[in-house]
Amino acid sequence: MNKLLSLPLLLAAFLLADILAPSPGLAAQAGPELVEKLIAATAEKYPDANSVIVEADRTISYNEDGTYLHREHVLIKLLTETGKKRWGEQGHDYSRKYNTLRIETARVIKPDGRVVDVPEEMIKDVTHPMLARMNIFDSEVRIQLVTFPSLEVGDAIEYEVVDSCFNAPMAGQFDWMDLFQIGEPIVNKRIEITGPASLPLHYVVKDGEAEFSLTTENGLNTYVWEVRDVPRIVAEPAMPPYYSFAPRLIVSTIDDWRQVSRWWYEMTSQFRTADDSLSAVVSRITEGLATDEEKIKAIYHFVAQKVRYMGLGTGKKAGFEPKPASETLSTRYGVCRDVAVLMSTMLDEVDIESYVVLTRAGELIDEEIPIIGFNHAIVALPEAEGGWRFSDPTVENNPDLLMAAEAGAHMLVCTPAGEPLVTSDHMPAEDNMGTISATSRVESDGRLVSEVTISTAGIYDLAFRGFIKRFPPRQMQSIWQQIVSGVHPGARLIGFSSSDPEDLYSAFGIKFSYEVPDYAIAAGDYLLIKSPVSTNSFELILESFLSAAGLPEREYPFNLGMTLGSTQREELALPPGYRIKSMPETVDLADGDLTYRMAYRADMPSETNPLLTVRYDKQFLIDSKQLSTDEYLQLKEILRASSRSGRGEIILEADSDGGPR
Amino acid sequence: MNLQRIIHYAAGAVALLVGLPLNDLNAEVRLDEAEIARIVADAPGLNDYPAAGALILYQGKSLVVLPDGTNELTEHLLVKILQDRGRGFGDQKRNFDSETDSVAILLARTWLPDGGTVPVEDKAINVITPPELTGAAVYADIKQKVISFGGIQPGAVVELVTRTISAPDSADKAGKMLYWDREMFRTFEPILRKRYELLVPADAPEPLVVRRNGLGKAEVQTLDLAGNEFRQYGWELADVPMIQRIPYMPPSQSYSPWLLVSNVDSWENLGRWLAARFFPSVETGGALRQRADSLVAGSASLADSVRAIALYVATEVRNIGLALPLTAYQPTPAGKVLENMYGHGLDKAVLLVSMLRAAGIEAWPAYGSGEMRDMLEEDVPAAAQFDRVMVFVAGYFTDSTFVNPLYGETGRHGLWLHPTAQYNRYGYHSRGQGSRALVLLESGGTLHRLRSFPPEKSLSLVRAELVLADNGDVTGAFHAGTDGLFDIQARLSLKDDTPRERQQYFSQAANAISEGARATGVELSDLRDLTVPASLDFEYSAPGLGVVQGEMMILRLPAPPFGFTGLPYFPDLETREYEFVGDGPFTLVREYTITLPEGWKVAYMPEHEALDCQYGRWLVDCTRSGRSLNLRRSLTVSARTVGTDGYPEFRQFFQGFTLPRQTLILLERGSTPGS
Repeated sequence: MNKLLSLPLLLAAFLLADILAPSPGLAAQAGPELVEKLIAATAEKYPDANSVIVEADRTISYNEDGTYLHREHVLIKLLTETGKKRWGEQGHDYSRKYNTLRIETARVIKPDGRVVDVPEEMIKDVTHPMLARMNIFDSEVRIQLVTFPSLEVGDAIEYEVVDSCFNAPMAGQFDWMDLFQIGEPIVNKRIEITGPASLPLHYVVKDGEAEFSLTTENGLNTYVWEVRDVPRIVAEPAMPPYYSFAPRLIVSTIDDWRQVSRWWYEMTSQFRTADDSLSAVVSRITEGLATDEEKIKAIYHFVAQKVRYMGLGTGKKAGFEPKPASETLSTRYGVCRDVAVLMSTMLDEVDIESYVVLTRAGELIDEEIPIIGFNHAIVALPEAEGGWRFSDPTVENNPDLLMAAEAGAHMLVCTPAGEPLVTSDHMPAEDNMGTISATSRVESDGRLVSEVTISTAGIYDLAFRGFIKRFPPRQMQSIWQQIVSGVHPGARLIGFSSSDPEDLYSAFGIKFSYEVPDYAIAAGDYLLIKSPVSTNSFELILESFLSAAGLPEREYPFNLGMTLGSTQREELALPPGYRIKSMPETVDLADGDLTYRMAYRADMPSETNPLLTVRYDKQFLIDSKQLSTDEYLQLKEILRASSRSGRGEIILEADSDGGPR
Repeated sequence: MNLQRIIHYAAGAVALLVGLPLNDLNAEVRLDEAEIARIVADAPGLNDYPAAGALILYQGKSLVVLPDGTNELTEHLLVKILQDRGRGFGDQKRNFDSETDSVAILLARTWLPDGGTVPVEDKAINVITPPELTGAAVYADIKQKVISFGGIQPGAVVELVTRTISAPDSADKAGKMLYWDREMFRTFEPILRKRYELLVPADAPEPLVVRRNGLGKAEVQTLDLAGNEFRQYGWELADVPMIQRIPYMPPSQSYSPWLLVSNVDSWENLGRWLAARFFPSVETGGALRQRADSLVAGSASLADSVRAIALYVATEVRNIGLALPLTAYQPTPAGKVLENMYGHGLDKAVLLVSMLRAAGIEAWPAYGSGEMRDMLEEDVPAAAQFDRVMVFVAGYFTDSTFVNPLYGETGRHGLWLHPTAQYNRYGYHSRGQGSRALVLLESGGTLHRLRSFPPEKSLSLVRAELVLADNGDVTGAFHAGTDGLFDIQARLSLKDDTPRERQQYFSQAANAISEGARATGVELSDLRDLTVPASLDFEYSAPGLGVVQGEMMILRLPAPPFGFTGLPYFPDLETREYEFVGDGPFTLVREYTITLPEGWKVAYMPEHEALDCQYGRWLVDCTRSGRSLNLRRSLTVSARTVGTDGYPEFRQFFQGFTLPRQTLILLERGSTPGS
């Protein structure tokens, strides 16, 4: 270029740059089309929303090696104070091991179209808080936090973020999942993905529909999905994660799950090596054990109990790549993939075949399209008759190899040949059972004295062992004092003990006793006594799950996350001189996966037991991890019957021969 | 910002000690190898401390205040893991300000049960942003160094020596060094030995000291190091038992040994120091003035103007959660806070003072504490005693519950305003009642006590109507009025919900009356209006609420199914090791009117009961008139805290009001009800 000509152009460029550059003091103006879109998104039109996603555009172009460039543009109108709080600080996460992230635009648009740009100092790049909360300290997993200034209800925020992946987790493959419905209404959402025709996408839209187009040009496929006017999801208690029911797009270049299985097997197998120290530990803990089963349990309990959960996010493929097994053993810390590899390596030492497994921590996965969207790793052991049994060495205090929540879940066993997605066995409610048994008596002065035992299985066992280990003994006493106060405000804990929570080879149980002065209510001519166990005060697990069942009906499934069972029994000896006037009605309901039985029975005084005794028996089984909206109505029917009988009382009246009044 | 301590020193006040051998200064807190090995070898085990998760074998801290204002904190920690519960000590965290502080790890290793040691790997030392500060990222340069120890298992000992050096605050132009520090000598695990040292230049004035709950006097000695004299104060305790957690605990200062040191000689001087930071950020012109003018336009009185501005700042300007000490007591200029429309408590206080002043209203910041009772140590002025900033407005306010601390003698009254109070009814605050606050004038500051609200200011008044049918079905209504802490709970529960979310809330509330019950009508006051107490009218139908058992019908009167109207606390424990500190005094009233069905007679209804004691009073009274029963239950708790000696009586007082018989109606088939 002619130097003489270029100088004025350069000057002009500087001049223009000065004029065009947004200045914090000089508000720019948003285009009329954009302002019009924002004006249309009113609180009147969306009375149940805190904000509206007016536009969400995502464009991704991926390469043969699995790297990609991802650009996201989002425009959100804020309708309420809650919306303002929700979007006042917006985070964009990334990992320095895999991608770079750049906020290209971040600004506030006022209702009149004035624009307030977010200054650079209001964009902070920090470590991801979620990881630290999980005890994972990885300074490479980051979040860029944009704080939007001058935000008021009625404003909009707009941002454009470019995320460039330079290190595909699974080299040569690309996958993505996206939601078409979230907790705020969406006016328009568009996803455009471009990639080499030689590496085409498998794709599916589940539980919804989207406009779709596919074009091919210059050896590139361009896939476009678009949705409009999608209502918000109003969250319900105990609902499943959005990605399991909301309309969603799943895309992937991976042909089948076996490919993923082989990929992770290969990544992890290099770290599955034992040093002398590891061999020595295995020899020590399996010494004298005759059967494979005993050795498996010994190794599993060692890893689960002795290696604490803590991660550092090291390795080129952080998040996927485990630590070497011997290092996990010597440092005594690791995350799920580390302990899974450690357990497998230790099993190798005693010639027990095992493989590492990718899972989504107890959930089912959309099987149609293979993606690497896993969040947990465990261990699989082949069964002699085919199939697999699974073991999760991340879970402390579990006598069983697998936690209840991981039953009936998708598992991808990672082997050299590759495996398809399989489902772990269903765990019946009876295997996740708490059994509460009480022997109680009400004395002539109305005082109640009761001894209670709780025996546990499955999730009850795991939860109670962890609970007991977590608190010092005196604090545990005060917790149980609070629990018995649930029976009656005047209850007094007399004693409390538990079996050893560390002994995973013996059944676990809790025993406690308490008393309540003036428990019986002298109601005119009658004496009212309630079975203390029937108050559900000691049913700490099932009742806490059911506390989320407050809605009369639901739009989304009721997600318990595991099967559950509870048996409650009480033998309640009544004061002499009374006879039973009435007792709560018996309930016996069974419907599909739900079973509920509750009965009171009176045993007349006898030679062996001179006291009139009422026996209370209740069993509640929920044999499904998740209830559909229809099944939820059946549950409510049962809860209604349960609640009604629970409000009943044992009503006594004085014996006709003139018993105490 | 200096995170570890706020220490200021006049330039040139004392000669700079560049290159001072700091290791020598804190030699006493850092143990030598032989002693460490002995402590580890002789450490007691789980048999000796069966209730503990870990045992703090030794914790030594040394704070050195250098003449140039730099301060250096050296910590030596030795913790033995006794049970899995204690494995949390395997991750040690040290917060620091990346702008002004540096944290050096001088030693980090695990002593294994067999006596061997494992050093912490380099990759196991990470710098992260503390997760709790993520919401305040725009402000915080605070980082956290996490040291993750290997080999953690019962029997292992964690050993860590760190040194945090904090540069002097360049923003401080005051002519005198100020420092303060607070150290607790008790924690949730037992401590075998704890030592704290403060080293200050020998020619600096004596620090003011408060010691509480058994902490002895300091050993004082003068050290001559590199030709410079330092005075060393050392406090030490041995065999400190663990704190046993129980519900409704008082602040640990009330029962643990602790120490507060400061060289601030008066509250006035502390006020001057804070004022020098606060008032330069007060602005009254430009956009801020315009906004203030527009807010007060149309106000009929001074009170109206104050209310308009205070509510604007509290509700329209977004709160950022950042603890007061992390702000370095340095607010953002008010104009910038308004432009940003967000701020932490101190920023919002500056904005509120500025806008009030821009509107011609006198206003001052007041630094206080959110404790439920006054914990201020008056003898040792230190900003470490404050955790919040309020704004005091002078003037005549008929609805004021406070005496104006500045014009108390003249009879003028004023208001205390909380610039972050988005959920409090205007003029009410739940925390900090009865505590003292430091009101800043430009020239200094003085302490003034916030008045405690009486029990009637926190009110939960619910009137309930129930019509009981022959089969036990109930149609009913609750009319709930709240104020004070109940009003706050109502707003926290529902203010931010959308209509659908509220519908869910009330559906679940109906379900809490009894399974199958439905909400049939809901009228809720405008919870965004902080000038009007939260109130609710709720109608429902509850099939089978009355349980028919043969010839009898049992009706348990349902409690209002809204968490925000219920008892704010309940003393469950039979006895207590520490005093009981609830959420403050309150009044709770329940008035039920029950219409009984034909063909049933009353077999039982609650009897008249009442109790009046030093902690409050309660009453249960039920009367019958034809087919109607009228039950009134009222409880007034006037106690703010309850000592361990009086606790059993307090518990009994509470229990008396909550007995099941007080809400039980028993009917029997028979002739006219009431006959």
